[in-house]
This record gives sequence, C-alpha cells and structure tokens, in this order.
Amino acid sequence: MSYPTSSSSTSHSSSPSPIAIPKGHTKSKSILKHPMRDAASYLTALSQADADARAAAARKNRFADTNSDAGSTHSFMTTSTSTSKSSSSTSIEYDDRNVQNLLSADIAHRYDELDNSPYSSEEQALHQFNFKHSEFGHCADESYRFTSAWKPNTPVINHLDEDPSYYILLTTYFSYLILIVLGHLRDFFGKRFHSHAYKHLMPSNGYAALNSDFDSFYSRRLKARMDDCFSRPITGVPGRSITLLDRASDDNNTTLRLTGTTSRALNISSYNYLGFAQAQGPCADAVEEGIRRYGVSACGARLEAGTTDLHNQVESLVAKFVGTQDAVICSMGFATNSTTLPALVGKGCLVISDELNHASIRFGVRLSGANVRTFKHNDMESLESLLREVISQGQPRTHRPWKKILLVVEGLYSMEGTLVDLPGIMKLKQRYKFYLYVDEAHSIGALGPHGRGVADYFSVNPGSIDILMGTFTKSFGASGGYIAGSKPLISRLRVRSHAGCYTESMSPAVLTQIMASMASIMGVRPPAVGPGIVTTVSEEDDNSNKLTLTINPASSTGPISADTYIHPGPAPASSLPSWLHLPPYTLSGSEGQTRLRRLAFNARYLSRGLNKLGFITYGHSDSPIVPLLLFHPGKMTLFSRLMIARKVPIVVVVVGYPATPLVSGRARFCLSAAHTKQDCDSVLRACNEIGDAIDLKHGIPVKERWTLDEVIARAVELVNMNILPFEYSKTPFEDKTGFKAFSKHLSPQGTHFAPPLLQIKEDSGEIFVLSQTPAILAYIGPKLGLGGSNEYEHATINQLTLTALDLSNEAHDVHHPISNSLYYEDQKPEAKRRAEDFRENRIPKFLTHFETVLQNNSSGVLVGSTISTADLTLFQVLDGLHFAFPRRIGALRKSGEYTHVFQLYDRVKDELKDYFGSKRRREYSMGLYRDYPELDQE
Amino acid sequence: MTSSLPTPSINPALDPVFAFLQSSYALAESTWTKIPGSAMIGRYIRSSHRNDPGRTILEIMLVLWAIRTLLQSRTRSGDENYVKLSQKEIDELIDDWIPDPLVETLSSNEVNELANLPVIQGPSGPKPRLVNNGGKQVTNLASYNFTGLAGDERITSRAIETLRKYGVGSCGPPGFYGTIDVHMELEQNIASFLGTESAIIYSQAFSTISSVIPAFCKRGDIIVADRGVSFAVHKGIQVSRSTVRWYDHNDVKSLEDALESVEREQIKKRLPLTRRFIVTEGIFENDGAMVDLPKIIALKHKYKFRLCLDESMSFGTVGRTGRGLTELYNVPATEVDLLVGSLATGLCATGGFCAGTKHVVDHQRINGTSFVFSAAMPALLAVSASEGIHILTHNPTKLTTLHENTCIFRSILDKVEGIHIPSHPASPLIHIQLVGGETKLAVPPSSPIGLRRKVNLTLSQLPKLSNPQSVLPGNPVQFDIEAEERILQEVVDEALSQGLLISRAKRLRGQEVVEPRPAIKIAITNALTRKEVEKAAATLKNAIVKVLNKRKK
Repeated sequence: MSYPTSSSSTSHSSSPSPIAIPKGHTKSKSILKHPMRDAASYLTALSQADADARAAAARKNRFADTNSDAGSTHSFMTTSTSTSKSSSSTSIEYDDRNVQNLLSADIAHRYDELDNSPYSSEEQALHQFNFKHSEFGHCADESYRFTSAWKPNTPVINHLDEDPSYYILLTTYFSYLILIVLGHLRDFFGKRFHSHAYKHLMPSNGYAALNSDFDSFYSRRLKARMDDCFSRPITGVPGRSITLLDRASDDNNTTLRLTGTTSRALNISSYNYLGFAQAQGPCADAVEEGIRRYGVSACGARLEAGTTDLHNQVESLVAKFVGTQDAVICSMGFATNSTTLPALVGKGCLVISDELNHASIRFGVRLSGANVRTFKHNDMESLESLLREVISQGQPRTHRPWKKILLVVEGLYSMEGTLVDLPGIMKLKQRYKFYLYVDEAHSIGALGPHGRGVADYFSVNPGSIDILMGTFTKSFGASGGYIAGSKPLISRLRVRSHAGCYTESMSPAVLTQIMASMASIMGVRPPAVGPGIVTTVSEEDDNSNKLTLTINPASSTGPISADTYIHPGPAPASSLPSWLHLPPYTLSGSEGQTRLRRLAFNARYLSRGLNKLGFITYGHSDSPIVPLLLFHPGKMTLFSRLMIARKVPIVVVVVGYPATPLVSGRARFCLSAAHTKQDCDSVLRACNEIGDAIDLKHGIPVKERWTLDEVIARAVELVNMNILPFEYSKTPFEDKTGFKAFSKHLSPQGTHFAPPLLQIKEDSGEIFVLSQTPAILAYIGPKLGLGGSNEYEHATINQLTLTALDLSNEAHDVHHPISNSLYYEDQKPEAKRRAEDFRENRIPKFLTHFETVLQNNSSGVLVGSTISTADLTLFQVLDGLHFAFPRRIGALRKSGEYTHVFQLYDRVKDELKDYFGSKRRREYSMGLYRDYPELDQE
Repeated sequence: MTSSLPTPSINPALDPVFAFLQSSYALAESTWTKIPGSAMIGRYIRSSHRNDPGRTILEIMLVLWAIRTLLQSRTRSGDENYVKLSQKEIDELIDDWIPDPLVETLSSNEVNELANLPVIQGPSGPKPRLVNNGGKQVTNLASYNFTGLAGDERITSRAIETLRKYGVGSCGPPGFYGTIDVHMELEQNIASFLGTESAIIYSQAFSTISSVIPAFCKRGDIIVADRGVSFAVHKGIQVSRSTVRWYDHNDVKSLEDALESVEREQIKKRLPLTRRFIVTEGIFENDGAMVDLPKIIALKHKYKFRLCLDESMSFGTVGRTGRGLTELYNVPATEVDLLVGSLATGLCATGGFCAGTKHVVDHQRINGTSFVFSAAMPALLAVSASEGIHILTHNPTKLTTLHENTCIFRSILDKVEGIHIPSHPASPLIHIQLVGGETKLAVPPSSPIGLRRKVNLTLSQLPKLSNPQSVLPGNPVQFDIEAEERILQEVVDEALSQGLLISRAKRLRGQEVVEPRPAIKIAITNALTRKEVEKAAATLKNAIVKVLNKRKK
C-alpha cells in the first residue's frame, strides 16, 4: 500500500517527511526569486538583530568543531552537552550531539547562501529564527497592532455556515468511501493471507481481542495513512519556531523511525497565544529562581500538606487577573473540568452543554451523574427553546423541577475558532435563571483588550458569570488550570472537587511561570517606596479604590453598570513574592500590552487574509485559532506534507474525522504574539501556493478576491477599515488604504505628510492625490451631496467640521500629552491629569457648542436640512469618544444637557446600521481613540 | 391515467369551479407526462392495481406512514411522557422555578478545616517550615516524599537545564506538537525500569487510571474489581460503563468466587466472549493494604482475565529499587497487562503512566481520553521523573532505608492501644484507624451507599455473604464518620503542636462510592534518620494516647 500520491523513490529521499513532490519541484521557487521589499521598515528595524546573529554564527561555527563551548552564551550548545549524556543511556534512535553538528553545518551553509545573494524575505525569516528570535519574533512596527474587543450591540459573527459546493461534498464523501472500501478489502485479504499481523485484533487463547478490528478500523485504515502528519515529536521550545525530530517510514507508516536529524520550522500550531513559551527572558529567569527555592514538586494533594505559600499566592493573583473574588488551581487542564463538574452537579441537576464542548467537559459531566442535554453550537434560539422545554417539563418521568441547571459553554472553541455569544447568553441567563460555566481554556489571555478572556472581550462583568474556568497551558506557557468565581463557590470546590484531596498539587516551577507571565500581562503596581513616587501611586490607588467601590453597590442595584466589564487593573506588588524579579518593561505592563496587541493583529490579519485569498475559514475574525477548510482526507495529508516541505517549513495541525464532521477536514492555525507580520505573510504565501496547487479556494467569488501581494500590502487595512461619507451616501469607492501605490506618497521623500489619502481619478484620466481629513471632506462633500446646498452652507460645514476635528485632536492628545513620539506608558501621569481636564471641561465645552448650533437649526442637523460631512464628522468623533471614554460619555448622555447632539448621533448610527453590522466596518484600534479605562470616569 | 371527468351542468353557479378543476387537472396531467419515465410508472401502477387492488391500498398506507414518520419532529415532544403546554403556561413555570443555590455554604467544620490547612512555607521536604505556626520547622510525615527525592540537587539542576532548553509549558497535546523528545525518553525509561515493552505518560496521576480503564473496558465488557479500590479507580470504572463484579477487599478467595461466577454466567447464558479485566491496586490508597500479586496472577491466568494493576502507591515505594509490587514479589511486569503508576507519588515529579505491551500503549495514544485531550507534561517535570528513576536505579539504599524507617515506625505504633493499622507491614503508606465504636451490620445490597449513622443492631441480623453485583460488602462495618474524624483531627493537631506534621486522609464525603473509614495517613520517608523517625513515632503515640485518654474521661 502506498500513499495516494507518493512514488516509490520518495521513501529513500532525505526530505523531512515522505512527500510526493520533491522540494525542488515546489512552486515556491519561482516566487522566492522576487524578494518582498514592502516590509522594508520592518527589515531595517531588524538589521541590528541580524548583525548580532551573524556575529554569533561566526562564533558558533568556530566552536562547533571543537565542541568545547560549555561556557558559551549560546543556550543551544550549553544544554546539548548534558542531554547527549542522558540520551545515550536510553535506546532512542537519535543522538543529540549528532543533531548538533548537523545543525551547525546547516547554519553555515545558509550563511554562505546569504552572503552571496540578496535577502529574500523568506530567507530572512529562516535566518531570524535560527538565532535569537526563534522563540519570539521581533516586530517593531506599531501599525501591526490591534486591540481585541467586541463592538457593543453588534452581532457576534462566527463563520460556520459557509458551505462548500456540492462538488466538494460529493467528492469528499467519495474519498472516504474509497478509503473505507479499500480498508475492508485489505482486512478481508489480510486476515486470510497475513493472519499473524491481525493476531492482536482477533480473539485468541480464550481472551477477547483487546481492541477489536472493527473498533480500530478508523485508526488502522484511515488515520494510519496520515500518521506522519500527527504526533510529530519535537525538541526545544515550541515558540515562534519549532524543532522537529525528523521521522521516516519504510513500511507505509506502520512504524515511524527517527532519522536522527532535526529540522526547524515556523510554528503555527502550538497553543502559545501570548508567546510565553520561552526558555530565556524574564519568565524563565523567574522560574529558575522558583525551582532553586522550591524544588520541582510540592509532594501531595492540596488538602494533605501539598499546599505551599506559592499556591495561595498564585490563586489570589489568578482571582485578581480574572476579576473574581477567589480562584482555585488544579495541576492539569483536563482535570480542572473533569474534577470540578462532578462537584457542582449531581442527580436531579441538568447540564446543558454546547454540542461542540471539549472532551474534558463531557468526561466531567458523565462522572457527575447529572442529566445532559445539548444544543446546536452557539445557537441562541436553539438554546432558548431547549431551556423553555426543560424548565417547563422538569425531570424526565417524574416532572419534578430541576434542582439546578448548569449551562456549560466554551469561550473560544478550539476546533472551530468560534466565540461564544456571551451577550446572548447573559440575556437568557436573566430570564431562565440557569448557572453559567464558561470554559476559557483558549480564550483567557488571548481575547479582550486586557487579555482577560471573553468577559473582557464582550465587556461583561466577570462577577456575573458563575464559574469561570481556564487553563495556563495556552496563553501563559505553563500547565494546569483554574476555576474562578465567588468566595463561597471556590471554598466549596476546595473541599468538594476531586482535585482537592486526590490529585497532586501544582509544581512550583509551573506556579512561578504562571505568576511571572500573568504579572507581565497585568503590569505590577509598584509599592510606595520613595517620596517622589508617592503622589502618583496614591493617586492610582485612590482611583482603583473608587472603581471597586463603585462596582459593588452597582452590582446589586443598577443592572446597567453591573453588566459592564471593569478592568481589574495591575497586580499589586504585594501579590508577588519578594524574590520574584521582573524587569521594568514587564512590570509596567507595556510588554504584556504589546503581546496582546500583536496577537490581536496577527489573528485578524491571517483570518481575513485567508478569506480574501479565497479560502474558506471558520470562526470569528478575532480568534487566534484559524481553521482553514480542506475537506478531502487526501488533501489534509498533502497540505501538511507540502507545508513542511517548503523552503521555510511550516508545521500545521490537520484535523479530520472523528474530531470534526466527516466532510469538514481542516488545517488549524494557532497564532501567537511571537509571530511577526512576516511570519503571517509566509503562511499566507504558502497557503496561496498550495491552495492553487491542490484546489482549496472555495470561498468568496473570484472577482472579490485579492491577490497575495495585495493582501500582504494591505494588511493594516484588512485589519482596520473606515470610510464613513462614502458609506453614508452609498457611493461606490475603492478602498486602497495602505496599498503599495500609496506608500510612495507617504515615504519621507513623498509629497504627503500622513494618511489618510484620497486618490481621485478625473474623467480626463488624470490622477491627483489629496491628504488631510478636512481637505478631503471639503472636496468630496459637495460631490457626494453632503456639502450643503449653497456656498454659505458649504463654508459653515467646513468650519464645524474643523471644530469637531479639534475635539478629536484633543482626544488623541489625552494619551500623548507631552509628545506624540513618546509611548503612552512614558507619559502616564501627565495623561491622567490631562484626561481629567478633558473629561471635566473640554468635552462639555465642545458639546455645549454643538448643542447650541443644533438648537438654533430646527432641522436636527448642524447645517441646512440634510446630513452633511460636518454631521458625519461630529458623529465619528462622538463614536470615538464612546469607545475611548464610555463612562464619561454615558454620564453626559444621561445628564440630558445634550439631547440634540445625541439625537443626531443616534440618527446617523441608525442610518449607517448596515455598515456597522458589516465586515467593512473599521474597528477602533489603539490609534486615534484608545480605550484606557484608567483615563475614563463618569 | 383515467380519462377526464365528464362535467354535467348540475348547477350553473358551480361551472367556473368545474372549469378551474378541469384546467388544473389538465395541467397536472401534462406536467406528469413531461417527467421522463412517468409513462412507465403509470403503467406499472395501473397493472398492479388491476392485478391486486388490495395491494394499492396497502402501498398508499405505507407511503402515508413513511411521510408521517419523516415529518414527525425528532425532539422529545414525540415522547409519551411529554406534557404539552401553552406558551403562557411555560412562561409561568419559568417564572415559578427557583433553582437550588449553586453550592451549599460550608459547614463550620469545613470552614475550620480550610482555615487550618497546613501551608508549607518554601520548599516541601522532610523538615519544612509552616506558615500556620509562624515559620517553625516541623517533621513532615504527611507529604509523599517516600524516597526523599523532593529537593534533590540532581533533580533540581536537571530541571533548570531543561528549563533553559525547553521552556516550561508544552503548549499542546501530544498529538499536536506536544510530544517532546524528553517525553519519549521518560516513556522509554519507565518501560526499561519496569521491564515492559512500552509505556505511556499522562500529565496527572489522578487522571491516569480513570482514563486507562475506559480506554479498554467498554459497555458489555466485564470488570472484576476490589471493593476497596481508590476513588480514581472507582471513577474510571464508572466512566467505562462496563459490567462490574466486586470482590471483598484484598480477599483472594472472594476474587476467585467472583471470577468463577462470571465464568459460570457466561457459560450458562452463552454470552459472547468479551474483554474481562481484574482491576485492583498494588498498595491500596484507602488503607495501605497490599495485594498478593502472585496469587492474583495465577487466578488471572486460570480464568483468562487481563489484569489492570494500579501501582500509584507502590511504584517507587516498595521493591528493592522501587520498581513496585512486581519487584517485591519477583513477578515479571509483563504478567500485568495494564500496569498503572504515579510519577507524582513515587518520583516527586508529576503525572502518571501506564506500562504494557506496545499494542496496549499505542491504543491509548488514540483512545486515552486524558492523554489525547490534554496538554503534554512540561518538559522539565518529565526530565525530573527520568532523573528520579535514574537515582532509584543507582541507589538501592534509598529503598532499604525507607523500609527500615517503616519498620521502626510500625514497631512503635503497633503496640498502641485503641488504634488499628490496616496497612501492610512493608507499606510505607500507613493508615491509622480508631477501634471501638464500630458495629457489623448486614445490609441489603440495594440500600444506599455509605451509611453515615450508627444503627442499633438486632441479633436477627446476621452477616451475609457478599453479593458480587453490589459494591457493598456482605457485612459492612459501621462507624461514625463525624465523630472519628473529629478525634483523629485532634490527634493531628496535637502532633503538630509537638512539631510533627501529619494529615488525616482527606475524603470526599458524600461522593465516595464506598465511604472509607476515617484514618490518619502517614507517608514514611527515607529522608529522616532512624532517630528522627523514632521520635516522630513517639510523638504520634503520645498524641494518640493523650487524645484517647481525654476522651475516656
């Protein structure tokens, strides 16, 4: 039996996987000849790093021959000497030392190549992750950032219903049919002619088969064909790149043997959302200190002397991170679900579970003895009708009312990339009184402007969700999980959960990793030490105290404010042990912020980019998990092998039946903050080439698709999009923000200072480009019928537009009070002062002005009787302020002093509702308007 | 088909109606004839009707029934137990429904227990400091540190080396780039340490056995299990949904009876050959008793059962070098089909493993739920476990000292009155239970599990033979859980005030399948000297005597 596509010669080739198309024949080569120059600025930023790397390479090559650099700073070499000792004591078929030499030779070769040829971007990437950026990519360009947040009152759009054509469906079924028929034929003849190979599947010697041939049919006859794509062994850190231990098979995957070589690949498969899988850096340093102080084990269960002070510290930090009263941790993510659920529900209780919930939830529910009903994935209508049925019918047969109903959902579904419709669920929760359990295994750390998961993302008060579960494996680079909730709940779980008295407690090494990574996401509020800092610190303290004070009464009285998410703020320094040292850029929280925003950018970019290229992807565009639909079982294998056979190998996860429905086999990408924009480009380029070669593009119609170059060039625009007047006047336009053609205008030598740019093509065919928002608006206003009916009106519109834009400039200056060229984090105290004045004096002053103008003009708009660009600008600014200062604007709206202004706002919003609900809508990133909760107050 | 209807003018007012009917009939007929092959179907129906008119009726009814079945909603509303309600009634029911609180509030006992939980300040080990008593050093006989690997320099330095090469987390399940070379090495190390063909590691000890059992035992398979197995084993058996037969705790005779009865039943009912397993523990987590492995293996061979042995408490604690029960009894580990153990208990690392043949192990790589769906173990903990095995293999004295310490401890405690030690003399896990106050009571097997109250015994109630279908023994011992736990806790507190850290065996009261008797759990360690162990035993003895004497008064 051979692979569907393989030829006999491939089994002898030395390529990393037994792949049909030899490396040299892939299409990538032709593309590689064109170096990508558009990310020039990014490359410049890297040049320093590259110079370092080059120096290191020279050093390394010198040492590699002698193999005597135990004291070298290079981590790779120091560790290898000791591992080689241990691997010789076992019979695993590869020798580390050998690998080491091979790798050094490989590197030298690549450097020769680099010296002789100009950099191509792929080679650039390759060479980067051979050295210091192998764990975490360097990406200095601030435009490759985004903030993950939900826009209130918009539907949660999860693409799950993009069905392929019948042609794809039929051929997929047909592929499986062939596989099944062939499998049965092989079994039929195999059992007769090779019975010894089937011995373990047949009853023998009075014992039933341990695993009957029928039960194992799928794994023997279907999965075995693609075994080389699963469980690929690795070594080292699963960071931005990953080191695979190469495998080969001489018997069609019956056995896979290690060849002894390794290959480095771009890693788009590990759950490393925030890039904390690192063997170097502040977290690893902290863990080393943790191991030195605490050892590797706490020796026992939590309730039986397995608790150390470190456990308690982590639990209180987790509670602060999530924003709940208390939290309890468990040493394994799977067990967090499977040991907690039985402690919450039992006989007479009902668990309502999403049909796509994780195995650990199903395992836990099965142990609990509670009844289970499932509803259609993320479908609020199905959920509501089920709730009505179960509450009204009560328990089966007896019709006794249920003791309690627990709804179990996941925040982010790991196979689909879909986000839970939390706003919808919270609405149902008020009516139907069920308890809510949200499994945030994948969403914690990965979603929300502050990385606090779905509650943060949807701006829902975490206190209103009864049980928040999450894991430390994914975003924190550790392992294990937690349950967060109210104090009584957590105390009960400590004594009632199976984990408390029967499972080993978490290892101190893991605890330290959690603490360090969590603290760097949160930032740490410094303790009051010197008199110089005292003033700002106490101010901050006062602020946060006020915040907490206002939440608590609100949660019992006012339903509106109880529902909103209030950012718990940085971790107090007292919550970390005194020996845990983190560098200043970590303590300030700016490192964590950068990681969150890089991840948000990468996630959006890849999923939207793939869509624009014509692929079918599932899930929400803010999800860091991007499933790419492949459908055919044969294509799954081929896709995985082709990706790994590329010049810059990319490792992907392919999943098919039974983990997914039969027809929707997929590749699943997991993005990370460790990836650079170039890494995403590499993935897009690879998908594009392979997608063309094996026919994977079945998404949006061909004429709506973008070319690869276009997607890469317009990345920032794909992530953010905006053009209000055109949308309002329903004027067709071509949105080319960020497109290559524009970069020449904006370069230092260009004729324009800053975006936005408008390119106008006159009827004569002449092209001219205009910049500066007021100028653009003044130009297009009359053309779109938004410029007033006479010259006087036109001038007034221009005047009011400029006034509104002044407000927007002031809003921007709030977070850059000293200079635009400094980071917000560097001018925080000043920003606070400025924000206070902005909220108290500036916003009301502007709004009073507009209110007066509106009152004087009886038609409800600023000028004349129809909406003009002035109204749209005012709307845009107000909408931005809604985003940046939600509490202040909410309070102003409630005050009733600016009814006309807000009426106008609501009117425009209503007329633009199609646009707001569409994918064309540009989301607020941390650009002009930024949501820093610490700058906002009522 | 038939010719068009004649339309006699009965009533002129109805003419347009007839005209309409006629035209629509003509349209239907012409459409019908346009369908390719319709003539053939028409011919067939006509001829079959001519031959057998009854058949036409039957076929029409069949078609109607099929349509009805197809249209019938697939929800439970088809259920005869379903009560049809109007929307208003449903709304009222929803308004009226008041769910129970999510959790019960803690009792004062539980609040106390949580508040007084020993919290170790700094590293765990034979002599840790406690937060509770203001950082004073105590002698630790509560932590699982049997062979003194906690805080071992060699392990710590290997862990740090690994950290610097692999980071901490594995960032994925084994199937998705979570299989690291150090995991493969550890599996190899375990397999060669035990002498099995292969081994697989799980990332938590508790979740290992509860995943291994359901990976092999399916609905319809037969499990014969000891009544005294640990909570984790019970959970595994529960999830497997197999047919279970129970035998009396650590009673080989009872096991043989159970095996015999299964065999008889199979022959009598001519049941098909199914997978059959004996499930038991090596050293029982619930009381420290030890199974007679050679006898069980003999029975397993005799009755053609497979053996699933949970060595969570015996791996790394007994045998010449800590290989567990198989080494202690000198039985090849290959005789045990599924050998499950804990790396957390025996090696002070984390996780568990299952050793067996290659087929047994490979099967779990796809079917072991908590292996497939859970992130792989952090690399540095896998290396710690490997190093632990390395240390045990090369230092047989570790186990000899442990055994000596156990004997010293037992020699002092065995003489104390008022307590009972159910644990095996060689087991470094020692349970101490109270005697007196218990009664033996015959309960019908159908009665609810875990009787919590003392019941007065009448003479007519005599001990019965246990029923293999019930998890309860024929004559269960009755004891007052609350009272006994209170006394034992007093002993624990008294010992702690004398500088000895021990713990009650914590249980999930109300969730246990069979409530184990309250006990103090002692984990002997070789990291303490002979003198220290003697002193600890004396302290405990004094504490017990003091508390029990106070009770008598």
